[in-house]
Amino acid sequence: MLQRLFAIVRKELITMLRDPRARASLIVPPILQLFIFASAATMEVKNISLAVVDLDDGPYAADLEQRLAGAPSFTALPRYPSVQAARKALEREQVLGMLVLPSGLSAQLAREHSGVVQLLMDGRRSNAAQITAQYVTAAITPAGSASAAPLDTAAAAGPVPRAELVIDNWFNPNLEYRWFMLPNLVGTLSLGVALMLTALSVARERELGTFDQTLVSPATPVEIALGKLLPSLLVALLQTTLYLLLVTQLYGVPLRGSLVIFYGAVLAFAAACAGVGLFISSLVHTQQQAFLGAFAVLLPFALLSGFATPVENMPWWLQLFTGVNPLAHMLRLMQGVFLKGSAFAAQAHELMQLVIIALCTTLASVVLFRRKAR
Amino acid sequence: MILGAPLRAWWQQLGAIMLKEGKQVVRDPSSWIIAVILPLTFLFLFGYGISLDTTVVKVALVREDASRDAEQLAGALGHSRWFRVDWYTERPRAERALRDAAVKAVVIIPAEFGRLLHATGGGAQVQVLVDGSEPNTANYVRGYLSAVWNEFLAARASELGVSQAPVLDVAVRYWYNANAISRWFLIPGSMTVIMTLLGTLLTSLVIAREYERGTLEALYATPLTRGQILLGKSLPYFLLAMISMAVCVLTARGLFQVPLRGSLLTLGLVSATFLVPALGQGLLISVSMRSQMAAAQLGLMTGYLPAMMLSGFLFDIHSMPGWLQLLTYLIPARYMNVSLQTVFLAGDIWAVLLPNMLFMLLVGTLFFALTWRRLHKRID
Amino acid sequence: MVTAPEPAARVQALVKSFGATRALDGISASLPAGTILGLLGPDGSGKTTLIRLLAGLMTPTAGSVEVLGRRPDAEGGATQAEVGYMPQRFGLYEDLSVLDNLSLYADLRALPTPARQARFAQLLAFTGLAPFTARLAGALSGGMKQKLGLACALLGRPRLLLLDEPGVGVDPLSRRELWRMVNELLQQGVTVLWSTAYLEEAERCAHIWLLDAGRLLYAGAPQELSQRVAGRVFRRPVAAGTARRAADAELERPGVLDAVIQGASVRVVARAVPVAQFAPPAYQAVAPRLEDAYVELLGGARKGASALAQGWPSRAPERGSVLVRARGLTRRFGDFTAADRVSFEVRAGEIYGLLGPNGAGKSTTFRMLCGLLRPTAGEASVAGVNLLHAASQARARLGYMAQKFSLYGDLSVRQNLDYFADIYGLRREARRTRVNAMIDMFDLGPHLRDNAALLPLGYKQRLALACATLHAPAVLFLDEPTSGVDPLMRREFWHHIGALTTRGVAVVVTTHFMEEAEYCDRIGLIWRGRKIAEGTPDELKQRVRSSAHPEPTLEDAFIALIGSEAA
Repeated sequence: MLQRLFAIVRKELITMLRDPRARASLIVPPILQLFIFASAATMEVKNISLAVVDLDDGPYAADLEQRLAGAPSFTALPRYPSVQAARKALEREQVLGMLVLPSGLSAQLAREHSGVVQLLMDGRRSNAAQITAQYVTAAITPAGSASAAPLDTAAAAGPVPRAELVIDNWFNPNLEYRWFMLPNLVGTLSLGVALMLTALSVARERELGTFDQTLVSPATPVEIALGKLLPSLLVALLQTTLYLLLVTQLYGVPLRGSLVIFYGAVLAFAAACAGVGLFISSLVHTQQQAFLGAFAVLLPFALLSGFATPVENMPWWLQLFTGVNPLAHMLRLMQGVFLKGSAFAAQAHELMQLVIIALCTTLASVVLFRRKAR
Repeated sequence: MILGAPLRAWWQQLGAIMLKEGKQVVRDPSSWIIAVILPLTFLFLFGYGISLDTTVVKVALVREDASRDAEQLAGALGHSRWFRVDWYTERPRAERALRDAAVKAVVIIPAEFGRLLHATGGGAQVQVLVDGSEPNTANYVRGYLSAVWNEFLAARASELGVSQAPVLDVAVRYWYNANAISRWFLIPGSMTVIMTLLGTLLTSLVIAREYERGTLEALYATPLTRGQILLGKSLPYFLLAMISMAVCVLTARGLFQVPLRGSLLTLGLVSATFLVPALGQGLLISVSMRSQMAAAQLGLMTGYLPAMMLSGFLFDIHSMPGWLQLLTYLIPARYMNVSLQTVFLAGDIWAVLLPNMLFMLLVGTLFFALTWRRLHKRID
Repeated sequence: MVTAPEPAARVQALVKSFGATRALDGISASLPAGTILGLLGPDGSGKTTLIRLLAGLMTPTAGSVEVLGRRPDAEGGATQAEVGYMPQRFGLYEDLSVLDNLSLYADLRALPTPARQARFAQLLAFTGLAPFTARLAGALSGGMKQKLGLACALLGRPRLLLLDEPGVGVDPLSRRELWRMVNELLQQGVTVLWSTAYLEEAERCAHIWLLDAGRLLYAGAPQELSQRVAGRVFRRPVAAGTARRAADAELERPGVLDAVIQGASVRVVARAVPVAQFAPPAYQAVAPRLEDAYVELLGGARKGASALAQGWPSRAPERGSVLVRARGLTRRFGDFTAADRVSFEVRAGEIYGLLGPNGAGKSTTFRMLCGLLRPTAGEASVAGVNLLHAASQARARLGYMAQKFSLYGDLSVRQNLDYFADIYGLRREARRTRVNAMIDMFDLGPHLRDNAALLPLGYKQRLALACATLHAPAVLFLDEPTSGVDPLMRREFWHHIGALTTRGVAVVVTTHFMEEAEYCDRIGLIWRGRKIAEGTPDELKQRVRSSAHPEPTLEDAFIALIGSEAA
């Protein structure tokens, strides 16, 4: 039994690693992807250029400009004489939005102690626009000490209630987006590899006829399935170790949980993905079908995992799907192990779910291999 | 007549190869999956599954102070449309909930809050712990909490009849997308991805498939010219992609109520222009690869993934590092994404559309020229 | 008949390299117009490359090609318009109908619409495809596909017709039809180039070019080549059922170059002219055939007892016990019945041949026997066990060699052998001895580190046989083991297979070579999913013997039996 299993595993590994190009393809694209995606996949908005239209002509425009220029995200604050002119620039995507100081703002502030500036953002890029609006709002009206953002502290008169809102960010004190994205990428990038690799390797053997050759041998379906799973696990281990080094050493993301949990999560996740891949491959006949099938599950897995947008934002009926989505579990595990330093007990539930997915899909494919009949 | 006969023959040959491709598309289930099922799944997933609009955030509230001020602050939080408040009595429990991602933030109103609020020395504090592991959500939570806090303070101040320091408020308006509905820009963006899948992935298979099935040599052994092969192979997929685009537009308008502020004609023109580089890229992959598998993988890596990640669809291009921004200029999806968002949400703004269309044509010409060079009607 | 002075095609010092390998290595010859040329050679000898060069699909690395007075690879299609080309897989769009395919190629050759209907009608009548115009090309039988391919190649009324292995995998009936059609074309003055691995096909051509490893070994009339062995070919009639042993014995005699079974006798080729040892009455001199000369040209058949059989671990099953049993095996795919109530039994020490054209249902039956395919009805058992549900031990008694090469191409020869040794549970000492024995007996030593996919076809087949017999199975399933290999390799194969029966192995083998079937103890003829006849080769021939056909071949028997089936 073990002799046969090892024979299959060894054969798979040789196939994967025999020629230098295949070896390189296991290492180079994942690392490139990590680099590119880590740079591209950010919800932070940088290099913002925001038009400033000062119709008030009072002292505030310069003050506000200064506040914005102090924030790191704004690279250009071009002034425009009129809303029309600024709008033209906005239309052409030269600026992301405009800050309008209405005429009479100074007078109103002096009279009523309050005034309103207008922020007009480009709704075509509504995400970047929303985030920028937050930046602007935070820069102009910071929540915090004393009352709401006095423009001129000297003007504050009388016994106002004094209180402070002290906000602490747990797990990620500076709210660095990369700390969120990189642990997610560790999961997402290994998803594709483990799933595609397994799905395609069985389909390839079917097409080449080598699968029949193994099926007529004494090898049992369980051995064949395990023989296909284990190499994918090894590849996933190798890749995630690389990722781990890059993420912690190069990008400086902390690893607060234990390595045991990290590798436990990787193994359970890779097994679940490979199991799904195996299951797909037990349903298809050709590599092309396997490819389409794998693609068809990869897409919802990735999109509905919380990788791009939080699971809580989805409608409830789509949230149900996350139970069977290995990536959703993996992302929670990775957040836990990298940023939160969660203990095993807190993670056991997610780990179990991954193991269950792995077991169900592998068993289902064993049954389907056994049926064999096409 | 001297000119007429060869010309007619030319059209006859072109028509034949187009008709053949068309029939194959209609009969091949996998092209239906890519042309119809995939786009609809995509739209559906992006329409429902992906939402950048944070709706209601769960926060834990630990109130250790029984004063009226504490009660009012808690009430303000509870009534806010942004929060759903879970009440906790002990800090450690609330902190555990934060750790387990059951809540996104913990708000602690400490004992003595009410007394210190009115003390001359000040020193009243409300402590907030935000889950920073999702920085985006964390930022929203911070923003919303600050707003509630500011309102609370202002209300307390006016209650006491004290005048306030001048406060500057920011009134935010979103042009083209007044309610900042992320779906409105995600759906046009996902059409870019769909068109890339159709234009590039599907065509990346067409020549590789004939090579695999052994029909390519029979085709090459006929008097067909390169131009006819290229045209004959791209036009049917052009039509298919346009039909698919129409389906997407209908779905976007009907199901997701995305506005179309530009004209249909412009939309069609933009889509047609985008298909030049998309088809060119697919054909280039197809003549370079000898198997459908390799072609499909290359199509995914160079077509689909960049369209997802680097087109400005999910992630803003301006926020990327400079070298990556340069790279995006080679990606046709980048131009398509801007154009579609403009046509859908803003209108026919030619100042935006024309340069983008020009770039698409440029990239497309490059791809077709390379394909032309590689397609020498030989199989060695 | 007057031969046109200008040849239809001419190649001069033609070289075509792919990387380091030279597919064609300096070939000069000319193709006489208006005749049929047989392009002959084993798989991988460069036939297809030469045809593709003639069709203008490749450019020569060195040397020149001229077709109908022009360079064929120039763009503009002047040559293409006058050359009809049928690639190996016929070049049909299988997802389009027969008529779609015809219309497509008619348009691509810019056939004017008025002329088209007449031409279609003509070609459909010519190929007998008229009733099937609406059928998808993929749903046609091998013979019909080949006819359609030919029709498509003929649409533009070519002056030169290039056919790449049109006879492969086609039943004898269709092959005869094809020859009839080609002869008609020859009468119309078309030049035909017919590439083939079958010597009896080449024998019917006016000229042959014999290629081996990219070199032209012979160009000229086939009869002239045959004359090389004139006076050295004999036939010795033998008793029924002893032919295989007799042929083995003949081959071991020192003066014998080649010995094969031919009907109820052994055909012997002598090494040199003093042929006193082959005197009548035991031996009768017969006319030489191309194959005799071919074997001589390549150095003669391999001698010596089969090392495979000699090294066989002796655990012979009881001779005569039934090891393979098929009962009413039926398999339907949709509304298509691939195998229809096939029943037969194979005993220990017996070679059972499943004979029939491609698509007749041989492989389907085969896969059901091996437990790879679930029968719609009926039952299959091997060594008394149904393999579909069998424990893994039961499968260890079976050896399987699939139709197309199905070892791990990206593993080396050694790694493949090790893999199968492990999969079949061979342990330490046994594993080492068996693997080494296989390497020795199949001469795999020089290739041990090569990727299996890059081996020459002959070595691939050797390796496949080695992997299928490593564990000394009691039953051996061989699905077209000799398809595409040259006559010498075929002899070696049958030599091993025959020898294994002396160790009590039951062999089930499929083939579409009629002459190979002579090596089988019993034959089941499969036609359209059904077994239409069964018996020893002699019995089958006996059934169709008549005064008009005093000595029918198996092919004659096959055609007659199909004829009576259709009637």
